[in-house]
Amino acid sequence: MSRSSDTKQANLYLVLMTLTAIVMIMGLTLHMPTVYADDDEDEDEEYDDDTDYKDGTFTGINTKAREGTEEREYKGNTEEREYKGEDDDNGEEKEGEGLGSNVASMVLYATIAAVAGVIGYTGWKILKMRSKVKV
Amino acid sequence: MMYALLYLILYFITLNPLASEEAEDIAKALGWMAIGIGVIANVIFILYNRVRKLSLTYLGSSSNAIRSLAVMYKPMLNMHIALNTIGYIAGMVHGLLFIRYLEPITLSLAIVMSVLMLSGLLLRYTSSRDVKIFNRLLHGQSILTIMLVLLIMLHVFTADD
Repeated sequence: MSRSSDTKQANLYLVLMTLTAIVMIMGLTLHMPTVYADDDEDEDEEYDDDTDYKDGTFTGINTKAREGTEEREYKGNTEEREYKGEDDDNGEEKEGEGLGSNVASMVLYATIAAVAGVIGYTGWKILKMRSKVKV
Repeated sequence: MMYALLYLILYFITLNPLASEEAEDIAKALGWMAIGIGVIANVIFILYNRVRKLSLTYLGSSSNAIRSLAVMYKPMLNMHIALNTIGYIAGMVHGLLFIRYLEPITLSLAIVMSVLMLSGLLLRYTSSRDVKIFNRLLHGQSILTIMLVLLIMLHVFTADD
């Protein structure tokens, strides 16, 4: 095998690896907006929860309290909310969703780390082997 | 060739091929097809390699069985490459059809599949010594295989959500 063909193959290999890296980065970029969108949604929901009253008037629009909320609309006090326990249930659901998406993201980061680790380890083994051959 | 590939990718991304339920079923079937082909291609090849190595250890290199197994190596390897390429393409098309539902686990699966496929192709079609050794080590890493199996299982369990 001549040196020039070795160089050509090494170049081909580098180009292919670069393409893989670009695909990975593109994938991550596609993934990122979803994460931020979820965070924004959570914030919005929290804001709606705390603002049944705006500028001293009752808005009465609360997406989380659609059923059986006549008493709540009249009284609107925190004790009634605690008694029904609706908000607490929703809170648990939100926490669960957040945990699920975090675990999925962790899987992605762990995969990228493992793949990079395996490639690095294999490269390091080859380099070590070559340096031994030279000595 | 590259333009044709680019056109195909853009076609899958820009057009909405999942307008009907039938199209969605076809895309799901492509995913199952990729899993099935992958299992057939890899289980047969791994079993063949195990049998070859074990018989070499116990029977010795002069045995007729070893010779016939050695003759079978090239066709088995070609079958392994061909089936895995078909499975990879089926899996990637399935992924492109469902690109709107891309989530971290699917992306992880695509990364691991691409690394294994790329290292396998380079192992077969390059002749440089270092590149060959690198890809042989990378392609045979058991951690990548374990990750692939786990990610496929996770993807199957979480895909409907």
